[in-house]
Formats: sequence, C-alpha cells, structure tokens
Amino acid sequence: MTAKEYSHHTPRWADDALRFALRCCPSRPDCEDAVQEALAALWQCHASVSLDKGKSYLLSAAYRSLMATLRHAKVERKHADGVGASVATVQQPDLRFDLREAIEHSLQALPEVQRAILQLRDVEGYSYREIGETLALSDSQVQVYLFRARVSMRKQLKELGYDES
Amino acid sequence: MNQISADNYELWLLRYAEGDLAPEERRAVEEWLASHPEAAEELALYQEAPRLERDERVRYAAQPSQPLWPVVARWSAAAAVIAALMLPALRMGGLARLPQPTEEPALMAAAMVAEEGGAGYSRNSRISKISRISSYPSYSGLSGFSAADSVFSKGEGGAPEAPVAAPAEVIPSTSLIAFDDSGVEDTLASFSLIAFEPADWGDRLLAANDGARESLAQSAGGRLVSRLLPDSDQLAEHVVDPLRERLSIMRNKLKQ
Repeated sequence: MTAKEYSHHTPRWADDALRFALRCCPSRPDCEDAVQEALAALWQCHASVSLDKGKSYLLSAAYRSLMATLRHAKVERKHADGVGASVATVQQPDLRFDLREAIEHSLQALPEVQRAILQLRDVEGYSYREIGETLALSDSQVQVYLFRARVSMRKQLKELGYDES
Repeated sequence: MNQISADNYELWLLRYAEGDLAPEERRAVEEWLASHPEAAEELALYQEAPRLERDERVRYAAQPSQPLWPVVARWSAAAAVIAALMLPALRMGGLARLPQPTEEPALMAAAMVAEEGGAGYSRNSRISKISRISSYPSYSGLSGFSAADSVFSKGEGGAPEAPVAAPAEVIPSTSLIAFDDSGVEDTLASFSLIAFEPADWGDRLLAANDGARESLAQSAGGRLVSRLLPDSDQLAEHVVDPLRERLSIMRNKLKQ
C-alpha cells in the first residue's frame, strides 16, 4: 500500500474499525485509542501490506490493542477488588426498550470474541477465513463461536420477551 | 468433516443452516436432529437470531463535537500555543477568512511541544498516549502528532523527519511550533511553520534553508491555522484576549 492509498482509505477504514471496536467494548475512549494505535501500526508497515489486506490489518490490530486494554483493566479490577475477574453480566433491560435496544443488551452478554465475530460477519460481510485472520482463530473456531453467539443472543431475546426477531 | 457428534454438531448445524452441505450430508444432519431435539432447538434459535446492522452514526476522528475554546481551557499549554498560532494569521490579516475548525491534533501536538519543559501532563493521559505516535506524514488527522515527535527527535539528536533541518540547539524547550504535513512526497510545500518563540527562530530556520521562505509563509497563514481556529467572533470573545494574556505570562517566565 502506498502512502497515498493509506491516506485515501484509512479514514473510511477507521470508521469501520471503530464500529467494530465498539461492538467489543462499550468504552468509546478505549475504542478510539485502539483504532489510533492500529492506524499507527498500519502506517509503520503500510509499504509491506497490500491494499486488499489493509482494512483487515487495521481491524485486527485494533482488536488486539483493545483486548490488551481490556485484559489490563480486568487485572486492575481484580487487584482493586481482591477477587477474581468479574464475569460479564447483562442487566435486564427496561421492557419499554425497543427490539434494537434489546439486541444491544443481548449482545453485551456475549463474550468479546463472539461479539467481534458477529460484527465482522453481519456488518463487514467477512468470510470465515477473513474473520479467522482478523481474530487469529481457525475457520472452525469462528463458525462454532458464530453459532453459539447467535443461539445465545436469540435465547437472551426470548428471555426478555422478544419472541419475534 | 467428521461424522456428526455431540463434539462437532455446532459446525454441522451452522453449515446446514447456511446451505453449505451436500445433499447426503443434509440428510445425515436431519436424521441426527430427529434423535437430538435439544440440538434442533438450537438450530431454530440460530436461524431466528437477528442479524446486526451497520451503525452509520459511528465515525472516527469526526469533527469536534464542541467548540474549540472549552478544549483550550482544559489545556493551559495548548491555550498558549493557540495564541502563538494566531500571530502569523494576524500578521497576514487572516482572521476574517478563517473558517470553522475541523481538527484538533496539530493543536495538541503544539501543546506537547510547549510542554516539553515539563509543564506537565499525566503519563497516563490521552495526550501522553498520543505522543508515542510518530510518522504520520500523510494522514491528515494525525499529522500534528507526527510533527511533535519530529521536534522531539531533533531535540534529542535523532534523525529529523521533516525536510527542513533545524539545529537542535536553536529549538528551546518552549518553542511553539507545529507542522502541517499533508503528503509524503509533498515536502517543503507541506511543511508549515506556524508560530515560533523566540521570534527569531523562524528566521534562523529560513536562513539555513533557501527556498523555504515562500512555502512557509503560505502555509503559516493558511492551512493549519485555518483548520484550528474558530470563526472570528468566537475567536475574539473566547480565545484572543485570554490567550494573549497567557502568552504574555509565558514570555515573562521565559525572560526570568
């Protein structure tokens, strides 16, 4: 990728990367930091990254950075609380919420990697191979996680009273 | 793929749902599902699950969501820098033609330079994080940071990235400078000296770099300054006078 191609494509890719990061972590500042670090990483090696791989490189770098941040935060919480790392829980949404909000709530109950896979599959339209490359997983792992994510999400929605999706 | 079992049925069901199986494989899955109703229920859940939609509202490095001046108020060093940034524009009668601000990075870069002497931002702050970033000559949203790092590296004797070389000893710790480098190949023309302190720093820089004067002058009154400053009314009310005062204080400190 040339410097010009980098300049041309990264603003749009950065939007996608931020959208992806926000699926994995609700903290926008953390997500923006992760995207920023990913942009830095991509710039450092842009000459050796082909244009068609640029976006997945950016998303992958943002994901790694974000996961490192989240792991660090978990460790800090663990030390602060003197207990084991907290388990993700989802709060019961107000039943006045619409389906879209209920979907967001059910997403938050999923492990980060499953949310990331859903985003890459549904929104970015990535193939299993591309998702695997981005998240450093095998094709089979991606498919199993995707299956579990959809099943869990639908179960959660049913429990919240949304029988029709 | 191996024969369907409790260990791998999720893979089979996903591929079944997505139509990726051969007819004989589909029949095998259906036979297996007939004797595993809980798995059949999972398959139904999978198929009913909603697909996520793209949220077009999400933007990275969007326009500032608030006027520039409250940001300035948070960073006192940045405030002083803006005052300095204004000087070339004022000299060129540029205030009337300054459009709305669109970017903050170069401002922050300049703030970092100004704070090199130790005015202090937390090592854990976002500014500090950003300061690790270098080499963004072509990404406009981050060009300012690149500039700041370039200045630091010069001061520390590292190889300068910017095409106009300045001897390290003429860059004082409180130099107020920022560069706008909007293209890798676009060297001198894209290198903008926005403001400087002490006042003769720019002249000494130009003296060492024949041919740079015109492009510097054009840039100093144009691109970066115009991107940073709000319209003239806002500028007068919220920025100009308070920042002149701050700049004056900084100058007095320098003299002491």
